[in-house]
Amino acid sequence: MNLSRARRMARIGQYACPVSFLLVLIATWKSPPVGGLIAAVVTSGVCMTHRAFSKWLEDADEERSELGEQLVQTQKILALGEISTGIAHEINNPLNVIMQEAELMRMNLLSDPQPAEVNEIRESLDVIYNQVERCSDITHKLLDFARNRHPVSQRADINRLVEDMLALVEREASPRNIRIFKELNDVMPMVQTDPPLLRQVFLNLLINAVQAVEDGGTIVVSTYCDGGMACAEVRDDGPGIASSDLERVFNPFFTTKPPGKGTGLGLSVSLRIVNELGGDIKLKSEPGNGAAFTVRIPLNN
Amino acid sequence: MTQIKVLVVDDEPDFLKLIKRRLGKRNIDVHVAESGQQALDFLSESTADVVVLDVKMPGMSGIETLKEVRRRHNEIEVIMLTGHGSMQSGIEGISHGAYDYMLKPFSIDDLLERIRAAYEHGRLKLRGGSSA
Repeated sequence: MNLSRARRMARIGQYACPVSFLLVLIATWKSPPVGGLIAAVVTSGVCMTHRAFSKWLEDADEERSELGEQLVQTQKILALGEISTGIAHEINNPLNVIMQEAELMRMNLLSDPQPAEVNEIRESLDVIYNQVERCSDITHKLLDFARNRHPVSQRADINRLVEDMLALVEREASPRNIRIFKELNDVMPMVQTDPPLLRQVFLNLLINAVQAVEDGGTIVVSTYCDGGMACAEVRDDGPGIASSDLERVFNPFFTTKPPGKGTGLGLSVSLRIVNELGGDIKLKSEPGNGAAFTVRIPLNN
Repeated sequence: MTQIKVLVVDDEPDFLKLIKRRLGKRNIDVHVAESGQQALDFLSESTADVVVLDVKMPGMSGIETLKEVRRRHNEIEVIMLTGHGSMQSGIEGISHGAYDYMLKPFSIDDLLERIRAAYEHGRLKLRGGSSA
């Protein structure tokens, strides 16, 4: 509202100002007393218009920042919704299994159990144990997400960190014929960072890439320097990320993997870590054309 | 340079004997444990700067041991070792706060370098924050 009014005024002012000054000039030339009067009127008019104009601009600016805040709030609420659904979903599934197994055990124990039933009870206990482990794994990851890490700054070789984590992933990738290409810049400077935290980030990204590509797919890992940042990019030729999901992939519990395959915390934890190290993660992806995640760490921390 | 105190945990006595001799020659104060439980017992009475921990062990697994070590002695840095490079144990080890992760077989120089880096990391952590 205010903004469009201010914009219209600015456009009119562009032409009105030079024309009015020209009129004043001509009037003063022809008859100085009348010209002076006209000049006074025009000047005060221009002055008043300007004041109204800047008031509108201020209002427009306020309106805009209010809208921005509302947007941030909405995004926060959306993310919170996703987190709540995520936790509920991740915990409810194992709870459901535990419940079923407990009921089965109770039925098997109604009368004196026969050897076959004893076996079944043992199996139920094993399943329950596993499901409890799964739950505690989720709560552990949640705590890990919320944890304040207090990063330490140590001299580290980004190439080496990447290669170490690649060695772990390669053994998983080679049976599936996934090709991994390394394009590591061999003159990468050393960086001051927290190596174990960065290892966790690289491993997360590599695992995501391995899980994203089909058998026989390709992953390219590259390192380079750009604008005072040390960058490590993991690019895959998997299905890519839908544009509607691009903003959500870093939200906790956002996952496209089938239930039980991923909690959706890997990327959110990774982004948190990299932010704590003073860097960021850039994501480029088009559906059908794979995805590229770039970790950027400041060179002089 | 101060001597780094390292506890190596592996279920293979031959490996322990060898590593003790080899690291000992490099001026490292080496102690060994044959199981996770033994390692925790050692740490409750004594201490270490760095623990080198095998992932696959009978009884208490390396990951369980790692969790306990991190819970009880947060200042100790842990390097995980494994012959079976599976992503799963790697993710678990690293997300449970292991400093580093090594695949067997490895060279002694490589291990030594990582032990030194882990030791430095632990020192920096104790001092609280950055070295710069």
